[in-house]
Amino acid sequence: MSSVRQLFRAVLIPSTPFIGLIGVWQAAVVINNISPVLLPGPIGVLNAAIANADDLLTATWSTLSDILLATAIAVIVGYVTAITLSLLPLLRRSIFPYMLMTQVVPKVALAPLLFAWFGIGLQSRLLLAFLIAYFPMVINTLDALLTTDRAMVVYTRSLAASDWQTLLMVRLPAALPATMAGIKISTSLAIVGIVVGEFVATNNGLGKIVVESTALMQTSQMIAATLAIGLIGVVLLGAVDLIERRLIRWGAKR
Amino acid sequence: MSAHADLVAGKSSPSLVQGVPTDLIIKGVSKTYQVDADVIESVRDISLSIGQGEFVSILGPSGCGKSTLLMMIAGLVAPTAGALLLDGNPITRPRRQTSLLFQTPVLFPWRTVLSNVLFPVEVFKLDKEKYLIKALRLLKMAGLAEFQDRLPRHLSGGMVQRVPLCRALITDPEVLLMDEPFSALDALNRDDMNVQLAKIWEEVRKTVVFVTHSIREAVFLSERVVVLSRRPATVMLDVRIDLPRPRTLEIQETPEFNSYCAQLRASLKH
Repeated sequence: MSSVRQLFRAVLIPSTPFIGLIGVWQAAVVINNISPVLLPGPIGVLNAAIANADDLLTATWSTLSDILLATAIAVIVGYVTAITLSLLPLLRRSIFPYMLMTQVVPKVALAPLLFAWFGIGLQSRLLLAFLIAYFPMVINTLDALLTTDRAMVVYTRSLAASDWQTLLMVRLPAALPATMAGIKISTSLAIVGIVVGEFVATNNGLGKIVVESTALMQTSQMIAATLAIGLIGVVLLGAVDLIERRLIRWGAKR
Repeated sequence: MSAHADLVAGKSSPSLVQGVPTDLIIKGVSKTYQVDADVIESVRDISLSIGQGEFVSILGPSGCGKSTLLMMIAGLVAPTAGALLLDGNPITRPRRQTSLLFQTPVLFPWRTVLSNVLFPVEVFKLDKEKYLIKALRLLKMAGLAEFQDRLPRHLSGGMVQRVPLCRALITDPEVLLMDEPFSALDALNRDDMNVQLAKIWEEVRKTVVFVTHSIREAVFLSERVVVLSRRPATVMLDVRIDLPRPRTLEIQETPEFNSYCAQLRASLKH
């Protein structure tokens, strides 16, 4: 009974709106007799996806591996930055205002400039994704590291613990929920960064398929590629969520 | 030893029994805080001499500076004037010989009960295997044996409050510093914890400095009660509690117990 209920909760509840949306979409296209160039129905998209399965799979793999690489770099460098800034108040006070400032700058707008500087290639795509994904990771983690429960820190200090021990045994574990939230934001932003990079330099991945098929008015294929990007997002964020549930059994989440 | 002799002769610790080995000496300690433009005098010229294995309660009105005194003994706060000595060595920073307990349990929510108890062992980089049996014995003594693998949030309030006591005893400290450790508990749980603490102390005979604003709790637990005044805290009364041990809740009905309470209550009214 409980496994049936679990299946229901994990699969049926989130898939119901999806199936409903597909139905409404197909019905709207058929009833209003909309041209497939403007908006193909879900069946048309599925047909296009099957016809171009090889291209789509290759592109998906390329985009996915770029995203994973960009996320890994942003998360690791961001984590180390946050720890460093938490230990060095002088450095923190001098550069943190600028880090906050970069938050409001639309970094996607820098894409053409980055490609002009660093050429059309993986390095520019990674750099763009990194710039977008890095700061939220730093800010989330740093904020949590600086607001560790005071009583926990005082207690640990009362044991004559070193700053290093306090960091490893108290501050970092206590900051883990915020760190995981930072990883989630960084992951979704890395996806944006990589795909926008592929838009600008159309020689790779799902972003290239989106731009090219739009130019050729192959709307079905464009939608198929867009859905593939969305699917990557769902899978990656689901994976992070799974890790979070493993690591944080003590948090507010069930 | 001369400092000790001075204190024995001094009027600020009249009840000190000559010949008891002195463990903890507080000598003319004052503490003032600067809060924005205001200077707050928290503790003024307190001198106390606490013997090894003595259970001393520090009793005083809320916010009188008794917690500050405890933080100074823990080496977490430096005095503005005076000195604190543990075994003849000045206390300038936290030391392993003292173990601090707070009003709240301050457990790490990501660690199991057992792992929380072993936390000081990890901080001291001692052999965890060696202390495992001791941890289990302490948990059993506290009635927590079957909850060792639970996370703190799965324990009731009364049970959670017993974990820090096990954690404080695991590394065998010389001095337990307790800052109103049971003030968050309801009356029944509080009585229960007091009985357990008395039992544990009668067994281990550690030096305990117990901060409280409950007169009955102080009399029930202590060998000696020191009454502090309103801020700035000064010593108003220093009484030895000569009640038999083991102490049980019934002792609270005796006239001796109640006359101690009356004496302390009268001194707090000034």
